[in-house]
Amino acid sequence: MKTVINEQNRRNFASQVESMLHDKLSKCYQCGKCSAGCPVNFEMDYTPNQIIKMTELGMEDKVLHSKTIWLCVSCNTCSTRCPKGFEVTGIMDVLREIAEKKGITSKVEKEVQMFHEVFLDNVKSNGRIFELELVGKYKLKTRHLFRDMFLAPKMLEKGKLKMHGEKIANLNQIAKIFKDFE
Amino acid sequence: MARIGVFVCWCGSNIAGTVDVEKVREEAAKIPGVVSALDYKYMCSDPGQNSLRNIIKEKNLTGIVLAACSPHMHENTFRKAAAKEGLNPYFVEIANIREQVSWVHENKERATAKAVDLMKMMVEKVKRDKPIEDVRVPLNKKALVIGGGIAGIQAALDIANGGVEVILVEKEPSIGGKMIQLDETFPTLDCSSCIMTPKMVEANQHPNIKLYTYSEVEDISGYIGNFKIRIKKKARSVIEKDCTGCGECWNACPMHKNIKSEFNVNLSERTAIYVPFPQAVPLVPVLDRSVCLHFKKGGKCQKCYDACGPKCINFDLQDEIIEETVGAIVASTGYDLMDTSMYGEYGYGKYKDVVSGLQFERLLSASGPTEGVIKRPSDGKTPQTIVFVQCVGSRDPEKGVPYCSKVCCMYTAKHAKLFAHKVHGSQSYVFYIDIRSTSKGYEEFVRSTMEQDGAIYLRGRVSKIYEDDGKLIVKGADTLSGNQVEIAADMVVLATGVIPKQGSDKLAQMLGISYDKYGFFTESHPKLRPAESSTAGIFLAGMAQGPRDIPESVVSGSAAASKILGLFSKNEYEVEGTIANVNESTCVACFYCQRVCAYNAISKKEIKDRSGKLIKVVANVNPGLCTGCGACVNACFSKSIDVKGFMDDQIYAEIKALAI
Amino acid sequence: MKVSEKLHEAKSGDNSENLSAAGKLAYYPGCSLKGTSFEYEVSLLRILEALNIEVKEIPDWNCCGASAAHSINHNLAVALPARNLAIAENGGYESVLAPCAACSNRLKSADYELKTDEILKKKITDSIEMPYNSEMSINNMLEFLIGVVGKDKIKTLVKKPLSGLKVASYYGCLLVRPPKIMQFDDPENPVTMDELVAITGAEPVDYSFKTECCGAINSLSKPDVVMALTGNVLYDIKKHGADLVVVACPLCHSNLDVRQREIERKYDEKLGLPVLFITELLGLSFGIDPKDLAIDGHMVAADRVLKKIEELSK
Repeated sequence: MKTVINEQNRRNFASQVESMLHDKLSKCYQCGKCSAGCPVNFEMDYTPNQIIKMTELGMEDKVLHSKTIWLCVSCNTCSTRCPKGFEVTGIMDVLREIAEKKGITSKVEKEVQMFHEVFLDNVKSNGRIFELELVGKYKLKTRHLFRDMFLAPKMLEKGKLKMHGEKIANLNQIAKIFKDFE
Repeated sequence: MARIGVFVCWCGSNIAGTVDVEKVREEAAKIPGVVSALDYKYMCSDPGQNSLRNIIKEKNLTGIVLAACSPHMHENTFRKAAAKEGLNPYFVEIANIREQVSWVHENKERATAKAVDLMKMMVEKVKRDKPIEDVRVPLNKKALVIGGGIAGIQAALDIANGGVEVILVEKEPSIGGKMIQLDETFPTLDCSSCIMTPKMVEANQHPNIKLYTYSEVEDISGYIGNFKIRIKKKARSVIEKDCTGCGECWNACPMHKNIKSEFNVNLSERTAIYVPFPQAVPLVPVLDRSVCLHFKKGGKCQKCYDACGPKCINFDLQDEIIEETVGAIVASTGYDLMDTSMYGEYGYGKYKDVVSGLQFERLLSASGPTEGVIKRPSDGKTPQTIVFVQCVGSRDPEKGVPYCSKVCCMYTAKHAKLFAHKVHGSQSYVFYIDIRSTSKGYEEFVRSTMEQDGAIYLRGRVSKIYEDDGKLIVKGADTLSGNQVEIAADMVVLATGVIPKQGSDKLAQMLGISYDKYGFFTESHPKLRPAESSTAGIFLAGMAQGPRDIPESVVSGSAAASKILGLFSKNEYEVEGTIANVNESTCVACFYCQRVCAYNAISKKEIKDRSGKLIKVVANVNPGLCTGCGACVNACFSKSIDVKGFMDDQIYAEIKALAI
Repeated sequence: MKVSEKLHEAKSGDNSENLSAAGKLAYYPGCSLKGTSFEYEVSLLRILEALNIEVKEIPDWNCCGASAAHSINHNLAVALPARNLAIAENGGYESVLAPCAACSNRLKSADYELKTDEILKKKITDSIEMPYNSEMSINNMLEFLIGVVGKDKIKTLVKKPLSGLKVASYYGCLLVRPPKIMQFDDPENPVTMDELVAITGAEPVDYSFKTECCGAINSLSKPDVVMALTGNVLYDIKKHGADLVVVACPLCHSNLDVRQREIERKYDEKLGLPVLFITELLGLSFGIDPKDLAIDGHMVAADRVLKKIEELSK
């Protein structure tokens, strides 16, 4: 556990995060209230307040490869209770987006990341979510073919799983949005 | 013909390091009217002052300019030196080439040019100076202290012991403030009431102190030396001079349920006629008419009256208005604790066993609702595990206040320590962000709470508290180990932050003193004039100024007292002559000046002829209140007001000097 | 005054008939209501019918991007909801009802960002090729019921009070957080859903985990985590003696309902807590047949509770 701080790298990373976040890392005074209330803290490798400090210190590699950023469920408990009004939930979004753009796949939590990717693919091709297709593609990609399968028959019986998805009429508009921002 | 001397100070290398002082001197010598120009290493030193005085004498100077440090530093020094040579002290002008030049610029050439400009401006100003006399105001040697907590009591006692009469006004039925509610005090653990009650009694019995409890200052007008005060003495319904404090009345009162005791912070009940606590000073009950049956049910109940031996209960007593004139005032109105029920996540108000720091004091106190045995409010059981949460409301710009309340680290350490002393085998956990223990003996005290008394400190805040199976589950973080922590506690104590006493902003407006955005009174200078308010003759003490502990409150009370005794050591108060001056012949009586004056210094004056016929009404400046700020000058449409020493022609001349 | 009280004072009132008559109420169903949470839509449309309120589905609406978009692509997270909002606004609607808590959260968040960030707004409106001026009010289900429809109007429809039934309202995260953007109820102790429960005649049950997270989006990717979180909530509700849970979020519903059997198995403790949408509970109190409310579409059978309601009403 040792980090040699390279001033230039530190500044680059911290200011990239700050400009995407529209908030200042120096605002955080490390009280830990975010980590105290985080519902998924128990699974994380770094607590949310550690992620903020590590980002400030420019520990880009560790932060972008962390489990924490993918485990965060964006429940906003941290931001709501943060005494400094710091965008704790927001920083997780920013770090995930940077990781995604850099093509960094989380080794441990790749399933969360894959789910987001498959989800957006589904939106891209239909304009809406076709749940059966979403689940199917996600399972193929993660190879967890049989996980949760026991739920399927009853869900089908209850009418929860529709066999046909809906596509929106102006899919070209969705295509444009994706083209502009992907 | 003006004969001006210019003196350029090096201030060692402070000025000379950045400003070419010789160049400034040379430029000064070239200005018409300047008959002498000198530069010297330290003008404020004895040799510096001597050469100044010699040159005034030799060259018969009519005015002098010092290109030196800020007038806040040495204007007075040089004015005194000039006065010794018979020069009117207001013929001394300062060009500030230190704070405004050398300390804030780096380029020597440009800094020198700016210094020359400032010097030139002052030369033109001093040429147009007119002699000004200081104003003398007579002093009423009597003081008013508002607020009878430890700071106010200390101030009152010190003033009274100095031989000056004091009026001490307290809003509550008893003096003693917050300190008398505390159990033991950090870091020495002496019992608060043991050290406080003697002071309260002394204040009550002091021949120089007139005590008004259950009273409020309603109105204040006037100025230093001559404040007119109106005090409302609320009706106690008890004739004070006859009351012996025997207690028959409150024992007889049928209203002994559902009225929460303010003194015990809602942890016990009181009667409608009551003394807030047994050691109250004065020991005279107050009848709370808002809950008294006599007043609620049309005069039927008079059990207290029947029980009273000396028959000193009088339901018809009315509020009394008392008027006094004093020369100086101490504002020591103290503080309140923040309402922590805004933290929904902490459940204060929802869970009975989540209490505030002050409530815990009452649970520790031998005079408290549990007679000093720690029992939790929900079921009266003695808690075995207590979690203390620091910084509740403090350091929280989102829901509370951004500042540190200063006393919570220490009182929490004290709570944990006393809990360990009172309940053997118990365990306390303290959530903190930083520990601030910077006074004498404080750090050692906190350490011993951990090392001797076994309190476990966790560095982090608490996010949520909820009830589960009769326990309070505290969900916090320990950022040092990087862990989320859950503790099942029997009780939780929130170290609630402090805010100014409710209504302190209104009082400040009435007094005409400034206060910050939270409502704390601001001192005249944060470092050099900490006991003075922004208004002459009004002094500050205690927590009303900002978070501080008991020793600091006592010090501030004494400081305010010594300032007042110093003020009263003379018969008159001297006010600087640089105040607003009205040209009565051009004043059109629009009174815009009155509206903009922050110090209530402007009044209407009637000018009458010999027969007493009114000729005109004009604005009039009260020299005791005017600070010479100049707001009225800007507001005056008819250009009838000037501030002496800052006349229009002087200002124009200064500006023109820049163009030369 | 509590935040929630202030909110009610400001917002409560019956404005629904005017808006509905003028055709100003837009409806954004979102994907879940057309799929796994179809019961929500069925019951919603049924009670709106009873309330005589007409909402119009936003034409050709698209997915709001849900958590996936904001998790990995901020621009998409604004642009996808913005297209729906712009269609509605340009269609002359004044108010949008988004019954799904996640959708309403995303719509409100996008609206907030577009309102506060001019540069972003330009970028987004250029991409969706429509103007947008943040002029509509966006309501989640509870806001709509309390703020637009109004409590008094709902009260008049209660034909079959559910007295004797103990109901726990589960709010989760997305309805109340972040408070800066949601501007809805007290983020720590919300009460709106409990008030609706009280209107049905049922007894609202207080418990500690009303706003704790159920794990939401990670249901498929991190089922163990979700079961732990959802389990915490469900066992806390059970402990406080509720007969059933009401929610106003399809994600919460999936986790609490669909995962319930597994949770029971994992923690080896029976729960048997039917999870109803608030619209279904209201529908029951209006005397609507449970079948018409699609209550039989849930994974945890509500039979026992329905029977209890029948018995109580006798």
